[in-house]
This record gives sequence, C-alpha cells and structure tokens, in this order.
Amino acid sequence: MRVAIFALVTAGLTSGCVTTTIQEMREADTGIEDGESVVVLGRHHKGGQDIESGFVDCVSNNLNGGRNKLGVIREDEFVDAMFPWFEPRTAPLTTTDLPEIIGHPMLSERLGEIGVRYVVWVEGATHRTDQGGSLACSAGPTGAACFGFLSWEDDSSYEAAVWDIKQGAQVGRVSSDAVGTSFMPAVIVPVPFIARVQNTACSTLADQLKRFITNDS
Amino acid sequence: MINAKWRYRAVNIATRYRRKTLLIGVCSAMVGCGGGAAVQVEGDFPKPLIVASPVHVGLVLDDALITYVHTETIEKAGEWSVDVGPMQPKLFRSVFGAMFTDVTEVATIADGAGLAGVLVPRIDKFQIAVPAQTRNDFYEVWIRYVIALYDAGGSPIVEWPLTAYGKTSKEEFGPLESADEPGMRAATMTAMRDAGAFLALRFPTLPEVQRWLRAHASPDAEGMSP
Repeated sequence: MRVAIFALVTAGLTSGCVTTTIQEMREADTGIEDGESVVVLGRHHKGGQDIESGFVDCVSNNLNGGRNKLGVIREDEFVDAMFPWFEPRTAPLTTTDLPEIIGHPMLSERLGEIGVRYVVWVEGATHRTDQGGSLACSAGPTGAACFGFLSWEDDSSYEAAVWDIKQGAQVGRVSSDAVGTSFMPAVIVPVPFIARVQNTACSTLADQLKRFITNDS
Repeated sequence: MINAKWRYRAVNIATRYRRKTLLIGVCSAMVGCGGGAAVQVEGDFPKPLIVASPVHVGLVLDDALITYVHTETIEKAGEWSVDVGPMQPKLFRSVFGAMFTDVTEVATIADGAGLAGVLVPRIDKFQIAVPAQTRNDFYEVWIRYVIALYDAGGSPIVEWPLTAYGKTSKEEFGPLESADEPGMRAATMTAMRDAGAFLALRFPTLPEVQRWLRAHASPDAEGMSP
C-alpha cells in the first residue's frame, strides 16, 4: 500500500502538465458485433509525413485493452494478409478506392476471413514546439553536480479516419491534440518533470475511438 | 571505523561507476562512429493476393541478379555493403508465381522458346542513405529494377523501369543498440516489398503487357487483376 502511494506521489511529482483537445465528426452510424475487429494503420504514403510506428501500436494496444475493449488485428498482420493492396504506395488514400477493394471477390473473402470491420487510418506527429533554459553539470574527485533549468514543450497532433468495410465508406473522424510542457530543474541533482504528451494523445484518441466505434456516448 | 568503512565503500562504488561510464562511452563511440556495416538482407514476402493470368511464362534469374551486392563508401559513415542477391529469387518467384498460372525458371531467354514469354528482372541502380550522411533519422534505400518481357521468339515486348523505395527510422531501435545493420536491413526489405507490390499491381496494366496477355491468355481466362 505504502509502495503504491509512493509510486503515485512520485509519478505526480515527476510528470508535467498535458492539455488535450479531442474532436469527433460522425458521418454515419457505427457499431461492432462479436467476431468483428478493428485494424489501426499508419499513413506512410510518399509525400506525406510518416507517423511514428510506436504510436500506431499504442493506439492498437489501448483499443484492445481496458473497459469495452475491441478486437484488434495488428497492422503488420493485416498488411501481410492483404499484400499488395495496403502497402505505402498502393494503399487506398480515400474511400473512393474502397469499393474497388471490397468489391474484389478475393479481397472481400480475405477481409471476411480475418474479420476486419473497421480500418482506422491514423496520421499526425509529435513535434517539439519550444525549448529553453540551460543546465550545466560538472564532476570532480569529490562528486558531480548539476545546476540550471531546462524546459521544453511538445505538441502531439493526430487524426484518425474510420472506414467501415461493411458500408464501404468513411463513417467519421476523431482527432486528438495534446500539448504539454516538461521541465527539469537541477540543484545538484536534476529532477525531470516529464509531460507524457504523445502517450496522452494516444490514450485519449484510443478511448474516443472506442466510444465512436461502439456508439457509446 | 564505521566512517572509514563507509568512505571506502563510497570510493569503491564511485570507481566502479566511473569504469562503467567509461565502458559505455567507449561502446557508444564504437557504435555511433562505426565504419559502416555489412548487411545481409533476410526475410520473406507474403504471397500477393491477386488473380493469376492464365499464361505460361519463363523466368530468368541470372547470376548478376542473384549475387547482387551493393557496396558504397559513405563520407563519415564508412564502408557499406548490402547483400540483396539471395532475396531476389524469393521476391520474383513469389510475385510472378501469383501473377501467372505457370512460371518455369529458364537459364536464358532462348530456353523459353515455346512459352508465352520470358521475364527477365534485373537491378539497374541501387542507392542508400544513412543518418550519419543525411543528418535525419532515416535509413533509406532506392532500388531501380528493370523488368523485361520477351516474346517466344526472344524479341523484347517491354522493358519497364520500376523504382522502389524503403525507409526505416533509427528511432525504432533501442538507444544502446546500433541501428545501422537492422535499420538498413529493414529499409531494404521495405524497398523490395514496395517493388513487389507495384510490380504485381501495375505491370499487368501496361498497354504492351495487356496486348501480349490478350494474345496468349487461354480462352477460359478469368481476367486480369487489378
């Protein structure tokens, strides 16, 4: 118990503040039945900005965990099963290409086999928007010490487009924008207060996607 | 006495820590400033999900292709070699095997007489870029293939240039692990996969290939894909 309280206090003390804005735009009704699953894909097309692969895994894991968890197929498993239709250069960019894919008997059969109902395309990135301060460390025969103050601000901005394979159409978009400032004062020992900006953007996006797909408002 | 004992332990720990730090520093320097890498590309390609055209083709996988090794000296990044030769049979057997109902490997174009046509893939250009050179986080690979199709008499029908691209971020690897070998290996696999995907979907749509297919496809043909 004491350990848990200490861990909570430590986590609270050593994390910076994160502000998150979630937006949702619904274009059609959604719902998911037993045996149906979701795949989260990162946009990697040429000319577009690559999403961090860790973020796609994070959203997938969050959708597949916690309350109201959804069945999730891993990105690499789905892309292998659908090769060569979802490669960076061949993947459909808009839902106008979707009827061609789901109308193809071979592809539609494979989609049925793997049970994918929703394809969630995620794009976005985390950027450092500001940083400042200075910190100096020195070491001598008697020990080492650091003095100074560093701060930096990160902005994670991600958007997910949800395609319903059954309807062959986009059913909505969910976006998550998280901004947070981390800082590290140092008087002898540097103490980092890290704002987990990307992680917050991931968990809030996944939670909202869960609500969106299950139509749970 | 107790103080002396504690002082001894503190000095001992500090010495061990300094040695460890020095060791990590030396290792990091070796990893970070290493002189390139020899990359042996390994892996498999998924079978393309396409409808095979009902024709019997020959496939020439010549020595230049199956022993292809790209070597390059990159300023500030050392000597690099990327061995992609052994992966080429895997790639082309998988892709052409899905594109056509019958594929027979032949040694030369002339050996394919009697078949509907002979396919001869080759690597025309291979380029790499590494983070130490470009100062970004990516290992990048460009492969320019030329896919040649010859008719039964050995006359060329089409020579199609196919440029493939792959990249991997070094951030996908741990901070203490050298990303050079796995990064270049993953980028090369992505490039070859890109080539396979584009070949499977675009080659059959070339006008010359479509004409050739119409002339050779058996009457119970299911039709091309895509």
